[in-house]
Amino acid sequence: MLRVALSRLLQGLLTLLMTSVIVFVLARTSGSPVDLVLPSEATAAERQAYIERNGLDRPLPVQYGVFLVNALQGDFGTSLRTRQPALDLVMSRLGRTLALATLGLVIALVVSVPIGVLSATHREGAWDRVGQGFALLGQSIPSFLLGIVLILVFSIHLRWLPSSGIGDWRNYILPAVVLGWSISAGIVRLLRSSMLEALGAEFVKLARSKGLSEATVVWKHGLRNALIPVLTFVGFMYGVIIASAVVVEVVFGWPGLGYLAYESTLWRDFPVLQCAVLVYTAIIVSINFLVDLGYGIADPRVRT
Amino acid sequence: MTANRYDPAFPKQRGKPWIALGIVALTMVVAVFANQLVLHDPEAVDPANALLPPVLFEGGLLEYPLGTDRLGRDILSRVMLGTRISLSIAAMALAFGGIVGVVLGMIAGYRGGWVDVVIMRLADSFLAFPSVLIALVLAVTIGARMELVALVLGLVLWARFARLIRGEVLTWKERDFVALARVSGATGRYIMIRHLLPNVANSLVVLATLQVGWAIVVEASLTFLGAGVPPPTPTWGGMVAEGLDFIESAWWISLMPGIAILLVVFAFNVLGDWLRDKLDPQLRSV
Amino acid sequence: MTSADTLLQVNDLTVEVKGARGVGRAVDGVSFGISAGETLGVVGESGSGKSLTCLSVIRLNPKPASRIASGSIRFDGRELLELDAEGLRAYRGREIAMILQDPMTSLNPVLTIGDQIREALKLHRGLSRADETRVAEDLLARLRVPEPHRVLRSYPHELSGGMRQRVVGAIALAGRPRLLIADEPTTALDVTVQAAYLALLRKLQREEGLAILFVTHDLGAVARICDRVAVMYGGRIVESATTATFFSGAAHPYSRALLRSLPDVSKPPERLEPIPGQPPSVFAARKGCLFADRCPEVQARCRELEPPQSSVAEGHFVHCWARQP
Repeated sequence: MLRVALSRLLQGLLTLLMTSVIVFVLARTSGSPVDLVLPSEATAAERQAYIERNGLDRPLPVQYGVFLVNALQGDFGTSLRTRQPALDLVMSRLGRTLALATLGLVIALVVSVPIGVLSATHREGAWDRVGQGFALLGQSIPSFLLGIVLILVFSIHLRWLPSSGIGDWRNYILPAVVLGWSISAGIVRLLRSSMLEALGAEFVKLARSKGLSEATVVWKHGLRNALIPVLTFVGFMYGVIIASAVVVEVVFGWPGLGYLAYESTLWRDFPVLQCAVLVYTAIIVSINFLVDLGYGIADPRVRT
Repeated sequence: MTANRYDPAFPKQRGKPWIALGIVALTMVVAVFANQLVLHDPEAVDPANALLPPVLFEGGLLEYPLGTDRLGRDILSRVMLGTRISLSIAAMALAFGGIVGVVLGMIAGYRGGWVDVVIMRLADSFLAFPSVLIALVLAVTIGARMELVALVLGLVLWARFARLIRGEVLTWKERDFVALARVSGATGRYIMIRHLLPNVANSLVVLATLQVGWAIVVEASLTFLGAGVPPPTPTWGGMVAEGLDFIESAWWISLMPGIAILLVVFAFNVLGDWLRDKLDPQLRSV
Repeated sequence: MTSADTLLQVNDLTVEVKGARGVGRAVDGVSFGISAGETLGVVGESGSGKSLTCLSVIRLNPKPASRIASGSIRFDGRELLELDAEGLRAYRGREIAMILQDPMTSLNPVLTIGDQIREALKLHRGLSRADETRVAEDLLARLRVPEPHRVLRSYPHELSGGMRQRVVGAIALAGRPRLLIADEPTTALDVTVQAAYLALLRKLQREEGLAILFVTHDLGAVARICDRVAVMYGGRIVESATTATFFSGAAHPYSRALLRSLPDVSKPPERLEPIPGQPPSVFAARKGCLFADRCPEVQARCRELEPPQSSVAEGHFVHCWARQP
């Protein structure tokens, strides 16, 4: 099991490396990176100093090496806008995004697990239609659209919840619901199919033949097994949530990492954007690794 | 004897998704003939008729069935043009992701060994790839263009295709007819094209249909963030974003293109689900 | 056919299955009875409907792929088809227990063996937690599982196939049932393990006075363990007889073909004959005798009319036009 987790960690590092290469290549193909990372009013001397410090006069692979070494030391340059180190800015926003994403994940699980189970146990019945409809809508409504509709209804029309910013717990509700929504369809579909598989398995037949109640059969024997593939997917889901957090944070004016990335795009603050993208990817990778470690708890077969 | 003595009767077979088929067909027609079908020039400004509501609401004009935006541009025409952009990007992304994915997936599945390991590791790392963020970087550095946005989507799509195709090839390549072809001296490339490709075609069609919706949603999210095709080209996501400032007074600016996204994506997904049940019941969760 | 000590009486049971090509009859008007302490072997090729028949007895037929469409299943005089889910549960495990074909998949992979045995004990015997463990160890010991204490704490994947099937047997006995339905219990086991398992079943049957509905396609197993045999073909029972009669004087052409396809150590191997042709699809038209296309003794009326039951001797019934008196 440790071997599986380690190989998945390597996998994650590969993702991270790939992302950094793409970001690096994009930055270099757009012209001189100096224009991207230094403010336009920088003097020729400043430019020259930057070029020498980062080896921009040397071949591309060497430049990438320097970039990587700097990044590993936490040096992503300074924000063009605030003059703060990019990493500090990013880290200051990270907590808010993780809080929102985690809440979204919890909401998604709380809503989709019962729906997925019920649509499997009532296959081709009314609950199944509800589940399938939910999954279809979930896939078809982009988060920004749902966010706008929820703001229209709950903030503008009913005036129950704030439409943007941070404040108390009420500010969390709408963005977290939208974030949860973005992955609920996936969980419902996956759980429905893995639940159908579990319920069709021989051990469920045997469990029923013992005379166990249907609730025990479904929720103990069926769900315990059906959740395993869902669990491996939660890491991936968390990645999806964090990625859609960019859109959701923009819609709800939530000053997290996604909003920072968006602002940096508007201001063309490349060092911050680059740092945000890589920290984002690193988080997705580490969560996947943690999920892999947790996998063994759920499935005794990989424990040994 | 009680009425419910035996098991209930079998449920009826589900019918064809006519509505979804209709929407998909209409979308295709609009995408191809958008320039011929529009009532107005989608970029023509008409300040006298700015912020008109849709025709069924008070103050709406038949001339502008879905209303106008803050510059008095016709929303219907802009939504129609947006259809063309969205579908073109989806098509390009699918073509790119599909071709690369099929080729690499086939090679991985057919060759096996270290080739398989390398390709699939690569695919897995692209699956976790933060496409939205990369698109933001793209917008800041090179500047977003249709082909580049499609390319970013394709970077994720190819991995999905490759995984599917590899799995399929693994099951098909053990069949007798493949072994026979191999014994009779056919080259690997010949077997992949003549024997394996036709057998994975069904799954390919299903996956492609299901991914159209995903591509449209992500593309719309990118234009919404300003990281897709830049204005003044009308895009669905861009129109939604433009309407945000007027959401309280002129909701239609945002909602009309939003509804267009919803309908089109929904139709493609319904169609994809139906195709999957029809062509490839094994393909469960893609 | 019903006698005073009949424990299970199935009459005219029909089970439909749904496939891509429509609805077919996988079990078609099947009737049989089992007395207390008796072992009935149901034999047939795969697809003959034998597994579905025995699963349907306690309504464990896969849903929604299949449905019991008509018939009657009486256990100890009670009509099981009239029971609701709760009523049925009172029979499952406690009166009627099951052993399934594949021990690799019939135990829940994420629960320990102890969990899965105790679950049944708790339900049917209402023991204290400490007693549960003791009784569970006893059960495993009776099924000749070495180191019961350790096995209770193991997960299914840590045991061999033979051991797992013994665990399944222990679970089946946990509720002290009167009828055991064994759906090809030895098919997935190694040949050497098979014989030991059958001997164990036979021993337990004698000790507990169990009736067994034994589904198999292995005539060797039938010879070892069964008192009577019912042969199924295309969802119908075509012959039933005592085991001795069946092996010495099977009447139905299909039964005879089955026996000829059996490797016989007392005769030279060239006598081994496969049955020509394919078994009928459950979705095919059900007209006449379903074996007609493969039958060496086929007559014109075989293709038109379903052969009625005729009695060859006391307790020996056959459905065949060629055997009409």
